Amino acid sequence: MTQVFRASHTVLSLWTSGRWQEAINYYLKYSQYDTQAMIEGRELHKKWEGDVKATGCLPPEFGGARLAWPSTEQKIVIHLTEWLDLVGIIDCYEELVQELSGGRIHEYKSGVISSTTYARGHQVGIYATLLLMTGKHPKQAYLWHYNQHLKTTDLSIVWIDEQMIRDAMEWVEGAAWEMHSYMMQNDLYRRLEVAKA
Amino acid sequence: MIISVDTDQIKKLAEDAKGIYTTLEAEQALIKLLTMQKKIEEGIEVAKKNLEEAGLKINPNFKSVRSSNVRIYYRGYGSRYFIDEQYVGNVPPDLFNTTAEIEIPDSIRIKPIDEIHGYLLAIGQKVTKSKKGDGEALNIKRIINSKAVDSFLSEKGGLPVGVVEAPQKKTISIKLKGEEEVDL
Repeated sequence: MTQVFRASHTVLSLWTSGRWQEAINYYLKYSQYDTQAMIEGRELHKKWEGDVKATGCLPPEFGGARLAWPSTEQKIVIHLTEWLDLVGIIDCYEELVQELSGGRIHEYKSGVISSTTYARGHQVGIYATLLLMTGKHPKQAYLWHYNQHLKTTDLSIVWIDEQMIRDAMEWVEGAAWEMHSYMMQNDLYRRLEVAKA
Repeated sequence: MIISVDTDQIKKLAEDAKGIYTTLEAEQALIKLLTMQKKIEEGIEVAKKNLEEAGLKINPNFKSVRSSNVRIYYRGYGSRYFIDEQYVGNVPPDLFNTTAEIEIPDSIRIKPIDEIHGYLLAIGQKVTKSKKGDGEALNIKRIINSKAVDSFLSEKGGLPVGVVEAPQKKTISIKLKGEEEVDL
């Protein structure tokens, strides 16, 4: 049976930025290596999910605007190739935004890195791919960033197009193959099985 | 008024302009080019103002918009942080540098640069390179390492005493895909 690599934006970002050990720890779900920033980020995401579910609006940190048929923490897994799955959890997705004639992804970030930096990455392309493969029509993404230390917010808007999706998938396949090969060569998948057991 | 930009016409005007050395009529070519430039620049400034208004309406904290071929940034310029001088003793030293321009004594200032450099090194002054002109007035500057402050902020959950967020006036900048990306 072919070993399948489950790629996510988080694990591949760690891998491609040279943080190989963190990428492996994350993939193998070694939570004892979680940083304070990761813990705070998770807590904030939980709070924001609750805000949207309770009110149907964006969290107050992001302006509180009403959302159009929002879904929260939607987990999507798609099978890309025989050795590669792509997985993502979309913080919030507006199904039908009238002025876009399509959907809008809302991605929340915390910490010190601004939304502009995230906008340059491949996360929007990955999430757009996941949504398209499930029959949705995302047209745009709002990347919200909340700096919990300074209590400041910023927003970057990204339009979704075919080139961005192609670039994202190329990046996913390249990085995933590298990490997958490394894990095979070092027998790391067995540790995941042991951890599950 | 209708403005049409005909790139062939621009090429011709640019070619015709060189005639100004021998014929005054060539002046018209330059006038047309410069007028077009001015109108386009005015249009871009209006577009920027409109982008700023529309962006702030969507959200007062918007920072950038990214489409297939265009990058729009709404950003402040200059350092994001500054040091409150009364608390400089509390600021971790690795978060900033201090530089100064000093006045060279009369007896030394007329010497060749190498000798002046030697004099400064002899009195224990490390000399940093600058493109400024005559260093007549003492000019001491604090240079904050914003990335180091960001790391501190991330680790400790707050700014160190003495480091303050700098108010920044924001403006819109527009870049085409392929131009250097901006890190905000």
